[in-house]
This record gives sequence, structure tokens and C-alpha cells, in this order.
Amino acid sequence: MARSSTENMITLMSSDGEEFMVTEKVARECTTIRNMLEDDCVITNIPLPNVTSDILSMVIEYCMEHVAAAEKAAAETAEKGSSSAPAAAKANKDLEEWDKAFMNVDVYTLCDLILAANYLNVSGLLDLTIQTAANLIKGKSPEQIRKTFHIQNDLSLEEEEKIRSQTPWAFEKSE
Amino acid sequence: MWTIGAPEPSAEDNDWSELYLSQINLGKEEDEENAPELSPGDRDWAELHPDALVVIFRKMGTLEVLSRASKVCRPWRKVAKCDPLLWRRIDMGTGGKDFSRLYKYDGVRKKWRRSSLNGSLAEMAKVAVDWGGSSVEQLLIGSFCDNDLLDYIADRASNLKRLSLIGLGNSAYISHGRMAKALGRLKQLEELEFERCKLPQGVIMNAIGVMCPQLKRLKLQKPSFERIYYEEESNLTLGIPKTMHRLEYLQLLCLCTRNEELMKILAKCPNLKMLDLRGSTVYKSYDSSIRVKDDKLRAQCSRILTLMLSHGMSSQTHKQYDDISDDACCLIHWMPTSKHYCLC
Repeated sequence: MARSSTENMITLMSSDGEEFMVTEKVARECTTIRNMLEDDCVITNIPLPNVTSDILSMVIEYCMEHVAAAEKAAAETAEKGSSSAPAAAKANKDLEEWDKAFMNVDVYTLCDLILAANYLNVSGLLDLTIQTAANLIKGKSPEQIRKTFHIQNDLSLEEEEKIRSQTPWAFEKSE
Repeated sequence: MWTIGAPEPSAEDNDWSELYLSQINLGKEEDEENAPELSPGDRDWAELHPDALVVIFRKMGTLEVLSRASKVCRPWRKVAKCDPLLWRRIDMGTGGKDFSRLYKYDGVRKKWRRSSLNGSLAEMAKVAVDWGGSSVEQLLIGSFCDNDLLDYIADRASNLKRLSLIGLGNSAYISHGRMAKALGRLKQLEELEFERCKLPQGVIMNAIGVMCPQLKRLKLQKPSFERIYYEEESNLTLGIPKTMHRLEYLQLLCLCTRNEELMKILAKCPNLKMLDLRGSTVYKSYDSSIRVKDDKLRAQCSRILTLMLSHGMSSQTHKQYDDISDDACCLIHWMPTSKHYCLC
């Protein structure tokens, strides 16, 4: 479509000074940026001091993928007059697969993505990362959780003993 | 913003997120400095922002958080303990997803029946109620529930709106009289469910109705494997019309009742919108004064918006109106304006 060439470009600047040119449509996926654009429509350069370049590039990748998927669905609907259910279902499934593959990251990156998704207010990404984190915790013993997330156990022996005496914690252990 | 992805987001509960919003308002330099914990460079899961952690915890079950996640480290424990919103809905129903998952992981099926395990579950439920306190609104408790636990809940969960007792009395002895007294202390209780429970007698149902006049939803379900005897249950449903006048939703599942008892319920509960009789057997009336043609009764029945039926005496699924047994057919005639029928 010719529209994309005439579309406004926005420059996003990461905390380490790297610049990312994105279309306004992609930038608007971030509610925080959308609000800024609505407040001040001539703004073209946005510094994001809380997001590093590698995380920002991932967020942009996510937004671009989801914008492209939405555009494709809209184009198909316009073409056929109405959206066909099987095609829409397949597109959804493809996007879910893409999300799943996108979430194949280490726990540090996941942590950064959660913080960035919240900071930029990308609801889909925040939901995805939170769910991924919850899935990582589910079914694990406290020790396994610490190992997965590289967390130091700062509970003293006395505290652990106290917790144990409060409740026998029948389900603490996991296979 | 962290509210996104929470299982039950609702506007009034988001005070904490609004507080947080003020901190992360982009484009204001002073705010950037005020929120150092937001820097993605921190990369520490122990110190992940409490609001994010709460949302993650909410995606997991009560038991998971209680028995595992809250034991990982101090910050995580603090989040689990100090965020009452996390405990708004406590699901410790033994048939729930939580338990079946943990149950599977334990891999020791026989141990479940042991009283020591039931005891520890009751202790865990107490901890959850302690942590939630007055913000607990929904509570699902499994067969480990006993009178002590109910008293404990009644003393602490002052804003409890929905209590589901699942498999109650099947593995622990429970005094229904003491239970009624405990329920009477829950002044906000609107929904009471007995799922697959040994049900209290009619006198106790009466007492519950007197003590909880605000009840809007009642669900009574016997264990499906138990044989149904009409005589002992007629008392039970008779307790409902006497005292529970504010009921809007009534589910009588896997029970026996009689047409005239249902009529009494309809007459005495003017707000009733939904009647669910799935799995129940409805005996025909012996009383000749109650007839389908009775206009007064028909008028009462017309309030019921949702009627759910199945025929207890038949194992077949009835999809067609013509195939429905006389009893169910009779009820459908009675409630001609019901918007939704469910036959299964």
C-alpha cells in the first residue's frame, strides 16, 4: 500500500542512545506513546530512558507483527465483504504461534520485557509476558523457582522453620 | 497498567495501579527519577515490581501461591502476604483446578484421604484467610472443611460474599447447627453453595435462612453417587420457602422434590429469576389443587427467566420438546416466558 510511505515516522530513542524509526501506527501500539501523540501531534522524537535498545527492538518487533496481522485481517475483510471464520481462526493461531516463539527468551529478558511492556503500556505484550512468567512458576517447588529465576533465598532458617510450623505445607514438594 | 491480565479486573479495584501510573507518567523528568525500580537494567526477579508480581501471582492458583511462590524469598512473600487483592477469591475446593494439579504432582493418591493432609489444608486455608482478611469475597473450600475452619472464616472474612462448600461432610464430621451459627456471622454473604455435600436438614436450612436473610443464591447438590430418598429431602426444600425470601438464583441439583414444594418456593421467593433442577427428580403433585391451569401459579412462574432441567429418572439426553418427560414438560408449561431453557 502506498499509504505507508506517506505515513508519519516516529523516532524512538532507547536509554543507551540508539534510535529506532517506526511508523506512527506501530508506535501507537504503545498506549503511553499514543497518549503523548494525542497530546502533542507534532512530536516526532521520543526518548525512552527506561528501555534499553535490545529490549526496545523486541517491543517494536512485537508491535510490528501485531499491526501487520491486524492490517492483513482488515484487508481480507474489506476484500471479501465479510471475514471468513476459518481464515480468521488460522490467522489467530499463526499469531499465537508467533507469540509463543517470541517468548522463547531467558528470564532476565522476560523480566525486562515485563517492565518495558508496562512502561510503554502495550497491553497485549504485558499480558503475554505475565502469562509466560506465571507458567514458569506454576508447578515448581520454591527451590526450583529460585533456580529458574536466579533468586537468592534470603529467608533465614528461623523464618523457614516458622513458616513450616505455621503450616505443614503438604504441597511444597513437586516432582 | 499492571491490571492488564488480571483475572477479574474491575475499575474500583485499581487504586494501586493509579498510584503507580502517577509514577510512570512518561515525559516528566522528575518521575523518571522517582521510579528507579522500574529500570529494566535491574534484572532481578526477587525485586520485580510488586504490582507486576501480584499480576503474575493472580494468574496462578491460590494453593500455588500459598504453598510455593510465597516461600521463594522475602520480597515474594511480602507481595503474597501484603496484597489483599490477591486473596479476593480463594479457591481451595478440592475439585478445583489447583488441587487436581497439585494432587497429580504429588502422585500419592491414597494420601489425599488421610486426615493429616486434610488438617494441613485447613491450616493453609486459615493462612489464606488471614492474609486476605476483609478483602476475601469468594471462598471455595473442599472436603477438608470442618467447624473450626468455618468459625475461623466467620471471624475474619467479614466481607465474604460467596461461600462454596465442596464435598463437605464427606471426610470430616461437621455439626450443621454450629455451621449455621458461623454462617450467621457472615453479614455480607449473598451466595451459598453446597456442592456434592451431605446436606443439612430442613430445620438447619430454616435457621440458615433466618441468620442470613440477605442470601440471593443458593445451591444444593448431593453427591451424585448417593441414592436419592424423597422423604429425607422434602424437609430440606421446605426450609427454603419459609425463610429465604430474597433468593434470586436457586439450584437444586441431584435432589428429590415435589411439584407443590416448588410451587411454595415460587410463591415465597418473589425475586427468583433462575431455577436449576438438573439431575433432580420432581415428583408429581398429589395435591389436586395445584394444576397447570392455575393462572395464579402461572403468573408466579412467569418471572423465571432461566430454567434448567434434566430428567433425573432417565439417563438419556432430551433435546426435543416432545421427548421430555411429563414432569419436565409440566414445568415448561408452567414457565412459558422463561428466556433460556437448558435441557441436559
